[in-house]
Amino acid sequence: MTITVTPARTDRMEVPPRSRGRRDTTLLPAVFFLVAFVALYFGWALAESYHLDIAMTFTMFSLLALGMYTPLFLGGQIDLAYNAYLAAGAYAVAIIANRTDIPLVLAIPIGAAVAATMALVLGLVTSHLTGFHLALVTLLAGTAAYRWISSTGAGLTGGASGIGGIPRLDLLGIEFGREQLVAAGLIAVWLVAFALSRFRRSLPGLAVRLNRASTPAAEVSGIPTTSIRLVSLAMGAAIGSLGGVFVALMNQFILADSYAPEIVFLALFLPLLGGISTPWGAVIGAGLLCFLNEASAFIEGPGPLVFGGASLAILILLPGGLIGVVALGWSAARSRMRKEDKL
Amino acid sequence: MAIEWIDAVTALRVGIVYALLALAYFLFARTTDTINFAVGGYAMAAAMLYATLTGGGTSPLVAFVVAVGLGAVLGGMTETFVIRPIASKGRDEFVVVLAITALLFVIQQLAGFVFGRRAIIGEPLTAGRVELAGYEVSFQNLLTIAVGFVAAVVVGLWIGRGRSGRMMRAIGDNEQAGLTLGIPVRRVRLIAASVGGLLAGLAGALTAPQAGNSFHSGVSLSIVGFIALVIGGMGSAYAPLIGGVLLSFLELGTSLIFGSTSRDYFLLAAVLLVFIARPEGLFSLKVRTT
Repeated sequence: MTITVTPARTDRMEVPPRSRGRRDTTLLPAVFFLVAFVALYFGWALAESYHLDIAMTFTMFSLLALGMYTPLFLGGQIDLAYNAYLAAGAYAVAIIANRTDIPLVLAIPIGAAVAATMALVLGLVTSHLTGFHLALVTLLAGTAAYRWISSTGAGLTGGASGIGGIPRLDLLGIEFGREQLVAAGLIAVWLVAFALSRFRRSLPGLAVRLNRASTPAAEVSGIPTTSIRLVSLAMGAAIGSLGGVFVALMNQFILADSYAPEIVFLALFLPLLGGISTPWGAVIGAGLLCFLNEASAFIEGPGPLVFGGASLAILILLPGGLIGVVALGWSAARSRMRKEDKL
Repeated sequence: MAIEWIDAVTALRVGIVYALLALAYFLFARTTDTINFAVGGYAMAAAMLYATLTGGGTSPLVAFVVAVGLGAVLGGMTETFVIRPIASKGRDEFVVVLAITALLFVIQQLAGFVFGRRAIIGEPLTAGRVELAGYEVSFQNLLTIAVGFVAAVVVGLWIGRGRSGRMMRAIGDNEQAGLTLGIPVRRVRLIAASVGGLLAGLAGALTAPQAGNSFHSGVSLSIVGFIALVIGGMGSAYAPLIGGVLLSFLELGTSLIFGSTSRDYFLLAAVLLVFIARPEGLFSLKVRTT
């Protein structure tokens, strides 16, 4: 009997099929958005003064949406108190600038710490709640926070009329005027989105996503689910507070009405519209909002209806959002091209 | 501070409206396993429609029927076009939550377009007042209490004893078992959702003559209804009624002691307290599984 030994296909074995799925896909979108942001800043934002305001609105909504993205789309936690976190950042700037001698730059970590602490406290008292119950408590907390800044805490927050006269941030001898703030804001958005996309694929990120898919499975895998949940809530809140910091520094005044709970609903839809499989979806959603807002008095007029309707349609029909649609179109085109090649 | 009995009548009226909203939640939760956060949107839409119709000269009774009907239609449409399609794909819980939040948002914005963005008040169903123990009470207030109470009791009886009501509970406990037993699951779910919408519409139409209704009020109606459900629990069809009335009386007590601006803090504190002390609400549901 002769035995023939087939040589092992070492070329294939070296690249196990699983590793194809683990290809690093975070760099390409990051480079794309970096180029887009640079072009947006130098080609458009600097051209006219009110373009800077629109770019800052984009920054704020992007950071707000990225903040919401963190616990919601990574961990499945619906936190609707984001108006409070945004306010934490903005009021940290205003109060530190006008009522204390603390250097203004410290408002950024202080605002983030206040927001993260609020999210942690909410997370701890709602530790056994998920879904609608968590949404209800956080929505009520956001409403209570708005009530506090607009009336009860008026002694500190200036009530409905807010706080004005915020000086420009001076850091290492550089005065952050409108142009510099917009540049810093865009860099912050890029860094946060890139960091989140890297985090999503890292081991802790996988743990957060596993916790969302199945908490019991995460627990038997030895993942500290409670800590992971709290960390994702706090991280999101801190990101949201950054949006408030930038807006307060840009406008040099803050009004309580800018932090009403309604803003949360608009921001909630942004990652959905862009696509929830990547944090860049939140940035695309924010860009879309600002673009449409330019076309008309959009946010005051049909904007919320269009956004809500589109989000609803996407949730029911197209779970991937705009990025999902593009990806679907791309894979359909590729399979068609392959078929044509075979023919 | 003494509570005048007239305040108690007002609290009862408000509490009955909360109870109707909570009962609407209850019906959706019991059959579709979904907290339908859009019920406040149905109530707001019904209130706006009622106020617009009566403002245009339509008879209050006709406007009332049409407005309540709108609630039922919205409830049925939510089940058919939102809850069922998403549930059938077996998606995460938070996707359903987001979709329903988006739906509430859409209903509010649509109402803003159709009925205008200014607050409007409807004509009362019945004019006139009656003097009771030194206070004048409007017939509308008494009617709201009576109609709301009767509706809650009728729905309670239907859920407890009615044929489709019992089917509804069976589906809520175990939909697969319901299907195996030959229960027309789709139809029963649609009936429950429509009745839920109808109750929310009733809540809206009854409150339309009381206070200014604007397209914004959907969220706050959704919130109070949900809190009433959280307080009452899901253990009995009458739990939402008790939860709603209790919430309203607690709200009255707090505003008398701490002033009306304390309401937002009170609602947060009440919900946290219930979730910490008795997360299942006053009446908990026990399903026999063996």
